[in-house]
Amino acid sequence: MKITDKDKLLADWLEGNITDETLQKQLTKEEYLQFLKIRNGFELLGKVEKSKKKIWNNLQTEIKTKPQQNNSRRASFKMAFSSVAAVLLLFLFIKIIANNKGVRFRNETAQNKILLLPDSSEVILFANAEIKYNPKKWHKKREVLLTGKAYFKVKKGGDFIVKTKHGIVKVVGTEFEVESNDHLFQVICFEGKVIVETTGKKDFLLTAGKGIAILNNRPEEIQTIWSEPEWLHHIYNYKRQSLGTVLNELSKIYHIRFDTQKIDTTTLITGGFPKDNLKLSLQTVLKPMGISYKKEGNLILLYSDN
Amino acid sequence: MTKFIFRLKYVILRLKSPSMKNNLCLKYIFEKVYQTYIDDLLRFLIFKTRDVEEAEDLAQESFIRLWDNCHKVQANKAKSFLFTIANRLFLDAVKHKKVIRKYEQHNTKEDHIKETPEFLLIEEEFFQKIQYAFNQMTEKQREVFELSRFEKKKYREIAEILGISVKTVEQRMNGALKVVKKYLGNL
Repeated sequence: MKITDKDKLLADWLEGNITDETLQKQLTKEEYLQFLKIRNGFELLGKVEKSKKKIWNNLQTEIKTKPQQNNSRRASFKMAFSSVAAVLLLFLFIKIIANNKGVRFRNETAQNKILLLPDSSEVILFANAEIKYNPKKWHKKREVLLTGKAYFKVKKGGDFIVKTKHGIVKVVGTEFEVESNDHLFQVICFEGKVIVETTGKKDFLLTAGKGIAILNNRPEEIQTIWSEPEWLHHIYNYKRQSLGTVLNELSKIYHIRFDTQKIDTTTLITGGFPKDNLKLSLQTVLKPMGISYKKEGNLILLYSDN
Repeated sequence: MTKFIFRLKYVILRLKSPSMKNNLCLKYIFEKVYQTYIDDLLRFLIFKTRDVEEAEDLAQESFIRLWDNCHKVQANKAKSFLFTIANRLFLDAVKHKKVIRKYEQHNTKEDHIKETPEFLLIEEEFFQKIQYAFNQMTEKQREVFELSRFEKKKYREIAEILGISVKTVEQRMNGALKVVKKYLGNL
């Protein structure tokens, strides 16, 4: 680009070769103003550049006395350690909680499963039943959480508590069945005594042979002649029940009728008969009594052997 | 639990790659940020305060605060941080001055003595172009320009200092002025 007269004037004037007055004479009012602005601009620029260096020097002192880089590293380490510590604590916490909650046992099979509790009490779990208890705390408090159906054989020694979502069963050395499912809460006492506490409402005291079934919040008293649940061994066990009662149950189970006119149905018997086997059932019940039978369709004629 | 894992991952990442671009606490990054924004910040403060010395103090304080907060501020947010702080400091200073004025009952003319005379003519936009032009000069042009305009050295002296001919000094100075002319528009 060609150096114009104006450019040369500016350079000369800035260098100090010509005075302000000389310059003024050679320029228009606007041009002279512009030249002054440029000179002032350069002055200010000088001061700014000086300030920049000064500020940076002062910042160096500041950076040296307060080194942040190390802090951020330290802070990162701090954060790392605190995070790791927090995670460890969380794991520990969960472990402790888990320990406090104890063990969980679930019967995944279709068969019954026996569980021996720390004091030798037994729990027999029906299919899909689940039990939770804390072995570490067992000697202080015998408490289990039950879902599903289980049979309990409780050794004597303080309270034994079965908690279900519907209610609590309290026992002192006895044998009983508890079933807790979505809508049904059923407790049958087979031996000894059992107290059933339902959520909110009544408490029930059950003695051997008595049970309570609460279906959709409606409690119903039940009786049983069996000495243990049939699902335990697939056998209907009875103790000192009258023959009549047993035959009654047999008819219900196998959908048959008995003609008992020729026999004494008041005799007390003890024994058991299997599920799903009518012939064997009849033999098991009747043979020891000296009773024979004749089957005519659904009707079974009973008569004494002698 | 997941929160902790995320935190942990982030921290491990930070420890692994400390030279992450937005880590202001690293000196070389902080310096880069300084070089990038000091011109604008100073200009902003100079035209607000009408006083180079005061602008200098405020700019310095702003950068000190940035350094103190380098963990919390990302490099790409530094500009907004600086200007916010600077403005706040400026307003605090104004308030402070008002209080002093109230209790000192001085002749108001004295307040203007501090005002830098250069301001009498130029606007901020104009000065921004000057700053920009200065940064666009070549090293050699800038060198001569500085010695001439800032140090008030004569061409002869400059030639001696730099070990070049006076003619060369003239050429470089003219080159510098041409750059200024270019960015100012028309002369």
